[in-house]
Amino acid sequence: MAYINVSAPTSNAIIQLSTATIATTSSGYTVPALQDVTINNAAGVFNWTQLDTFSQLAVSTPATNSISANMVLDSATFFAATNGVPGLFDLSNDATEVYFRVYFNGKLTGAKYVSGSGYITNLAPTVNPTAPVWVSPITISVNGDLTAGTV
Amino acid sequence: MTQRTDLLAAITTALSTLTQFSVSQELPWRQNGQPLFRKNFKKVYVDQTNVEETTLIPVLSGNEVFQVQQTCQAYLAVDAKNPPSQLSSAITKILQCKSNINVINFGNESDYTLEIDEDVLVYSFEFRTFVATT
Repeated sequence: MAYINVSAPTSNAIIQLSTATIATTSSGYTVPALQDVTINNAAGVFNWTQLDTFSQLAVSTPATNSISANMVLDSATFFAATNGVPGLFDLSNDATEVYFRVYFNGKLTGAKYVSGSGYITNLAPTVNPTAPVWVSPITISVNGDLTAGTV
Repeated sequence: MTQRTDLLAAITTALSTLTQFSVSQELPWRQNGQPLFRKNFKKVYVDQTNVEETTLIPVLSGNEVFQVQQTCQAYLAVDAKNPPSQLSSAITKILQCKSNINVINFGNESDYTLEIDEDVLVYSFEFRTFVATT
């Protein structure tokens, strides 16, 4: 078995962002304080029925890919540029294409990741009296394919 | 300022207009097996603060947001046979002191329980404040 355990300090799930192609694990910055991460690879399928068969038929259509997460806002990366990459709010507000890697279990050699590029959407910072810390969902709407890789 | 210090100041101010009650600066320590508030009627004693830290928002990187709950108890005993006329007013004023605890917080709560021990009414107040830390 090779379960992917993210509980150790060096094997956290990480989203790395940059405005240029990501060449190393130190490019751009990582999104801090993630509460959860979801990689959506919704392969499209078109189904139809025919009178001469009891089962539906199918053909593949283009996939819809996205990365979604929830995070605790860190003003250092939400508002300010880090390592030459604008903050998350500016990336979304300016509709800047971002390159990303989602590391499944840290950035050490051998760690797995999924990469691609896309646009940040769905920022919705919120706060309330019973949890007085700003949190927000974030989605990267992927432009094209997701690519699996290894550090 | 600690929660106890804030609470002591707030209760002292709140009860300053009530002639029948006073506030002790001492902790409610026990003398001959009996807490001070059981010996000194109509005097409010404030205990030390207890702190409990729990995770408010877990995050994958481990840098969690914590909720710190500070709990402080205060005690007041009166003669059950001859309750002071200002007792209900004192209870109301003490409970309202939750809003005067001078910490950055996102929740203040207070309540009290009443125990009748022989001919003594013992009011145990509990004040809880919640603070988020990162």
